[in-house]
Amino acid sequence: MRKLFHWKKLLKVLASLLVLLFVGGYGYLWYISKYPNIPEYTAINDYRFLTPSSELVCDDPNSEQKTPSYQGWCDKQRQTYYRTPQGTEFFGLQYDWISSLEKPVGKDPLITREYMQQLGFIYDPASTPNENNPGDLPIGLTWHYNPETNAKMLDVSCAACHSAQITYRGTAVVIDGGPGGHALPSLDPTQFIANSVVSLTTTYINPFKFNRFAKKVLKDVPDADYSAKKKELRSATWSSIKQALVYAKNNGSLYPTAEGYGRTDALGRIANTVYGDYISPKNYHVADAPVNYPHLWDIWAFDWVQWMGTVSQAMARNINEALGTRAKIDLTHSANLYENSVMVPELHCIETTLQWLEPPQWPEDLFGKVDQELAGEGQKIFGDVCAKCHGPFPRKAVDGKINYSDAGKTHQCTTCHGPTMTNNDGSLIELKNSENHPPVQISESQRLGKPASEFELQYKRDWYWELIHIPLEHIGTDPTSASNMLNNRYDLTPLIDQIEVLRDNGSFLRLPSKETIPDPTKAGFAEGLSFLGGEVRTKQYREWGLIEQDSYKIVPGKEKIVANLDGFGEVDRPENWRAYRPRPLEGIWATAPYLHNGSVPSIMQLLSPAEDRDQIFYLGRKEFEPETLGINVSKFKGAFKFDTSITGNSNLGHEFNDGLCGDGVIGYELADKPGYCRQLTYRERLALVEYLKIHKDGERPQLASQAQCGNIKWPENAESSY
Amino acid sequence: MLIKALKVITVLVLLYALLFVSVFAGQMLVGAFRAPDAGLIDNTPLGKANRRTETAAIVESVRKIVTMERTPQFQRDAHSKAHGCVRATFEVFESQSTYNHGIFSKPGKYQSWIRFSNGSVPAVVDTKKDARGMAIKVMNVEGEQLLPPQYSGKTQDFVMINSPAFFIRSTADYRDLETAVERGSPFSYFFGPHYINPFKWRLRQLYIALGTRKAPPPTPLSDNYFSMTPFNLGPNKIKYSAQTCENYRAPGVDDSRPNFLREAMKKVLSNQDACFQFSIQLKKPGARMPIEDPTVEWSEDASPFVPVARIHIPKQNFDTAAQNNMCEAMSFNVWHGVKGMEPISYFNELRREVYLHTAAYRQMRNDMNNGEPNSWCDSLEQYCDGEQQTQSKNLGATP
Repeated sequence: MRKLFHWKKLLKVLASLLVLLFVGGYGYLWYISKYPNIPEYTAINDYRFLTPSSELVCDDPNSEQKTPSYQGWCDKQRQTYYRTPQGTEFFGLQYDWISSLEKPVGKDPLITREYMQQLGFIYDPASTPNENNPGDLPIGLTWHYNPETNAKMLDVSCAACHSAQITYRGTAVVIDGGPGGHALPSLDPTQFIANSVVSLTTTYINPFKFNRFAKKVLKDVPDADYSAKKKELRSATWSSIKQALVYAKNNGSLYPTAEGYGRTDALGRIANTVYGDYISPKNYHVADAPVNYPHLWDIWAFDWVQWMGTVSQAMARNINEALGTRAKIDLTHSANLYENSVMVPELHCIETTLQWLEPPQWPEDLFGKVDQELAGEGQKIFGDVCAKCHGPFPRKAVDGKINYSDAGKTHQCTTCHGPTMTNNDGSLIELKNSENHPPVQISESQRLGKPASEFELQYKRDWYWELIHIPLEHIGTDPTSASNMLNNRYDLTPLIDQIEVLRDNGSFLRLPSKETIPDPTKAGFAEGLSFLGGEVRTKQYREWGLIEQDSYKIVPGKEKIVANLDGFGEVDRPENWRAYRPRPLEGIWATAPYLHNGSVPSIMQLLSPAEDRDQIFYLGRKEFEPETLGINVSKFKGAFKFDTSITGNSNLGHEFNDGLCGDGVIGYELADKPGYCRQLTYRERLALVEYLKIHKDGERPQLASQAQCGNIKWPENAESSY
Repeated sequence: MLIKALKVITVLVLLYALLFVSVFAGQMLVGAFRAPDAGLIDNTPLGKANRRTETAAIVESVRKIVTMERTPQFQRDAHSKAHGCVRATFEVFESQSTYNHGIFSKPGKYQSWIRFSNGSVPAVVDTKKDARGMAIKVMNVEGEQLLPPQYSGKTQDFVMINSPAFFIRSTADYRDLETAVERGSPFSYFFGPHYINPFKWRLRQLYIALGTRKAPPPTPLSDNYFSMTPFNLGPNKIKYSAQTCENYRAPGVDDSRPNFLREAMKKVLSNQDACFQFSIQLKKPGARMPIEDPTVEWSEDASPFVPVARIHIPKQNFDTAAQNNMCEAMSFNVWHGVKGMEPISYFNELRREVYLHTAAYRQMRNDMNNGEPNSWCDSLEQYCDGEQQTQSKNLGATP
């Protein structure tokens, strides 16, 4: 017995364990490189763009003739959207590394079109590798220059998650601005980001692999500088691996509900990145509410965006999204406070480019002719049932104020308060006077004790689409996303301490206002982000001379520019609605799966009682089903199994069902028995499906100007100015 | 080697048992000594809003469970097996002014329906241990109703089971239970998904739950029934109870038969009238009588049940196809009632939504009538003949 513990033997055991571990690890990597459990590659024979313009408006570089725009975009705008970066960084991964990496085991390149398409990333059909995409990466993957090191960083921009292709019998239909279908945030080692890090690690360990890697990355470096550059590359590689490990350690257990293809817990990840990674580990919260990537072709017309309709200012939303997608910011060192990599002019360029994007139109030659008679029936039902929430409700300012008296005509009280007309605290209410009713259907308890807001902020906008907020308990869809956002609190102390240090030295930098954040150790999600995003925004505006150097006042004469950059002069004024926001439905047929959490695979199922919806289905490809306006979700190899019984994945709510309306049942309300609802008949469902193929939201608010991309310096490495 | 392994297993089992016993003892002690309603009351806007979100989730789960358990009729989500609906008169007699609120504000005689039931879902045979329910619908009651007109008639319902305490402590717990039932593993509510994490055990609630499952009484008429949750009675907080007048027996009925409770009640009522005493228990200041926590029984020593009404069940044959159908279509809800006796506590607020929703859902799916009846005749044609007419005229609230 004693001999077993002799040190020589112990060493032997340890050594053989190490060898075993190494061989096992190598074997595992070999296996997942060779046989990754991801969807199989399906070849695309043809690409289709939708919504061609009736006139030929676009220049074609290859010929004298003009070509039509598609979904309102010429190729120039499309390329701008696909490749303009926003300042995000992933563990210091550099752009040139991605296309130079090999599979973790072997010499095959890691990133190929085939592999990325298997993972749900999509490619620009028009382009071969070009100056905007030298690495031949999928749509939305691009680069920016790190302001400190000048390194060319991998940048995941808006288009990566907000562009879609649906396939149909070998044809890929391009849905610009549609919901993405990849699993970008996944830490699964067969997925893009994690696999890149694993590959980078084996590259770092294996000197032969590293030599091959360096040769590719440093191909333009002169021989004289090569060994120095290679040394730099090696330390940058190591730093990147370390960052990834720290990230995995902190974030590995925060996302118990697998997001799968096409989803991310957007707000949860923003919070864990900004409040957790960037401020304090105390601020990590479990984020178990994955949501779909929303489609973008009409968002600029809305007064409120996000699934809960929490944010009203475009620039604030975009900056917070960039920070959440890991744009860098220093929030804990007074010397560099608020130094960040967010690219404000680029965000503005993308935002204004999106204003020209139009919804996709149903291609009859591909998906089949629309039965106009049936669609006519559907249109009538749509008006009775859907339009009262989905609108759109165009609103116009009169003398700088919004006239809300129409709101009472378009919405019914029970739409938001339920058939028993209860407040959110459960007390019964009587609402009779819709003329005097607040414009947005919200009770005191939903506002969580805050004073009523001023609803006269859109005065700079000619007109826009009002989005209403349907309380959680009425719509009844999975409450996790909204509840997490409303219930979690974040400690800003490390940041506040640094601001105090600067203020003690005479800085004018502000502290959060007592009204929005009474206790900085318990800041709300939206209020905290509004403060941080506001600092990033004003810092950039100040550098451009739009805001005074020692205050937060706009420089006289620059009001218009600031209003324009912010987006229609909107003030950033987040609201914590305990609600989800129904959006207008033009083009909705192209955006399956449905509901904010993607728990219902088709419109046909969405129009059915929850018992008739798939309890388990499979994601990872987007083969369109024109009959149901959904995607094929049958089981296949490498699929992501979507289990609706898991927290955050509930497929209940938004039901057309029998019994009382409310608590998840939204219709079809009986005309002769108010407060009672019934299922839609099969014929009614078919009619609605038919109509939604051709539904139009009507005239869109007019645009003030062309897309504003004149101030961006990308793809060069330069400072932008205004 | 084998012996060693066995030893290790034995020790592990013993440790687990010890853990089980100590967690149980700990939870029972905490349950007995913590301040009433400790940790349950949250009337902040956030607390209220979260509760409302919870309610919606529970309603949706219940709707799903009712759909899963259909046979093909859509059953009640609790107390799905009825033993029958019997005609009764609810006779409010003169009492102290303390009790003179709502339906008890003045003496009167009312036509009523009483439904007796087993608690379990799906329905189980009567011989099994179960909770038993008694629900009374008193009709043609004067006074302003608690619910909006489209959901109310002129009724005052009383809903009870044969235990004074409920096994679930909070509406949040109730949501967990419904989720567990919906996923087909109700026991995971008491033990957590893997049985291994003692922080997820609810052993005190399990103990109370097992306590509410009782061996069947000789007949449904021979038991005592309790409201479990509290109500306002004017300025007072109360619970109510119906106590049987005697231990009714049904000789000759085989109590090993699956539906013997119905048979026994039929037998008793074919020979004789039956009665219950309806009593009210006031909440006494200072006594351990929580409002929100229905797992704590209100002590009868501290505040006894005081009779305020008599329930008279005349000799009758209730077991007809028409009456049984009517029985299934009827919905009993603590919120069917008049002002002066409002249901209180978060549980009762939850019940409003759940009861209204399941009733309407079942009634529409089963294609049954769902109005509130105003008299026996209103419910069933057969009670509209001359004799019954006179009887119903004699009844009704006396001025």
